[in-house]
Amino acid sequence: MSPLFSKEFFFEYFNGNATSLQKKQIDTWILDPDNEEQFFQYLEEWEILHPQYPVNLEPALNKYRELFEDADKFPPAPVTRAPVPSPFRNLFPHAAAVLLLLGMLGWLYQEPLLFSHYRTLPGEVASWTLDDGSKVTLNANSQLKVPRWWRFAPTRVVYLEGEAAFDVVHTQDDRKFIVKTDNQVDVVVLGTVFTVFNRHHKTQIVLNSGKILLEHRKGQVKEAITMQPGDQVRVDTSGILQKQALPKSILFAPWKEKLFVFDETPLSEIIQLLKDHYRLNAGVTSPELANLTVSGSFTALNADEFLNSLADILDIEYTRNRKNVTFKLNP
Amino acid sequence: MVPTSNLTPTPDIPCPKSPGDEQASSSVSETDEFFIRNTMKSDPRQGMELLYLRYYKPLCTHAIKFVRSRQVAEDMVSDLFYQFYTGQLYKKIHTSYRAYLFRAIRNKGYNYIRWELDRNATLPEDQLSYVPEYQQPDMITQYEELYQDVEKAIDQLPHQRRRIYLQFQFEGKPVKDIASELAISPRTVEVQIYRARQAVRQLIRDKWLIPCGLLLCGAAGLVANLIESFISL
Repeated sequence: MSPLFSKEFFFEYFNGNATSLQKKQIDTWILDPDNEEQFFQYLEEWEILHPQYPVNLEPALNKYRELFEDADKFPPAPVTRAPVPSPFRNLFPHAAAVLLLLGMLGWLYQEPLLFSHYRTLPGEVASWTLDDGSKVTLNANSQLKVPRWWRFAPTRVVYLEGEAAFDVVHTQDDRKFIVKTDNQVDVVVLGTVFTVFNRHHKTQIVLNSGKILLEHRKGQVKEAITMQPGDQVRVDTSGILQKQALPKSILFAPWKEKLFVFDETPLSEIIQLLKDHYRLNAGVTSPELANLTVSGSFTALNADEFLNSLADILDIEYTRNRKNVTFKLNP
Repeated sequence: MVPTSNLTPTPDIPCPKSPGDEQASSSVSETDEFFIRNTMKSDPRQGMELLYLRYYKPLCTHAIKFVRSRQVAEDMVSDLFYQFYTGQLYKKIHTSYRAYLFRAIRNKGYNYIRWELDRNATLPEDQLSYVPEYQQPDMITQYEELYQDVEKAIDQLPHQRRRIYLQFQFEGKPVKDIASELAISPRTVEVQIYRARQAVRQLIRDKWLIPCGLLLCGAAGLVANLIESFISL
């Protein structure tokens, strides 16, 4: 060992009597692990010779033995004295809260979750093909709700508000297709072509081909009516059911081609139609106008075309201000 | 003072230098702790106790130079032994236990001072374990320099202030007791302790916290440059 790095040299160093140059040499010398061992041996020796204060070993040792007891009792003793609380400790209330929240959200959004919604805007006519291959055409301002999971249901149930033409496909397992209305009338079919009109608690069904069964609920009693092609059934607000055979010449769902057919239809009914189809609020200036009836047919792609054609047929005038329409007598 | 090896109270066995043996210094550490090492293998509990008996005192008296409080120093050393045992560190180290323990306590002491300088409030002693790890000095002599600076800073305090500070800080004597002993008001004692602390902190901070400050300035400058270059894009 070099005389520079003697025990006396290090003791002087620990006493604070080393020059910068000596310190620099220590820093180099210590890089050798053996020298480092030597260094700490000197340090220990020096500390024992120069205690800063009388260390009381006994109580510390007793305290330490207790600590060891604990460490052995709980083998994976935490290094930190205050264990960090586990984030999963209070999991249950959180899980419950999350489940509750999900439940509430699910309940709030059950409509979009459970049903596909097909909608048409005022004046719009649109067609869709449903999952089972059945085709549906919605007239203006209508909505059809179809369950998302009906593939697994024993029957195909749809809910209609407005007016629609159905072309139902007959399934191999004879699954029924049911159109539910809010007017106690269900249309039960296997495979047919028919239209359903369901507005203002008035329901009207026209059958084009095939055969359908109407189930009409009156309180607890269920009334069933079988319809033949060409039959029309109306159910009005009071729940009265009327069945009539339509003449062969009549067109099936003319609205599919944007065709409007009227046969002595009073203007009041047309005002209702304007509201249903185009969401227009129409009114008349004199009561005699309301008694006018319309016969004939015309195609109208939008509300303005409709109003123009109507005015031509009746030879009256109208003014339109956004959603409001007023019919006037021709001066 | 001329320390000689016969005065050393430790049961140091003079290293036998048999020919064909390993290097002298490595055999020093091996024979030195031979008994403790063997006990550690067969019965760690018993081995830890031997280790404790052997190194507790020198470690405490070394640690106190950094932390200036008996309580903190002793807790720190106990903490070190506890970690050494529960973390089974004795199985992992390749140096002597002594070298490991001293190095560790010096690191802890260094961290403690750095932590104390970084923060402004007085330290809660029960949170000793949370002293964060700072980057350690590259040079071993920096540890000696640090605690010797601490010592010098205390030495420079006015006489009574130093006395009060030592009683309070080193011995952990309550303010009330110091006040009644010196026949002054507790408020005066508190003020003296506060001033002493500030003075010691100031002296150490000037020398030991500048590199950190420079680093911060450098980082801030770098960020500023980056932002500038982004703006110019």
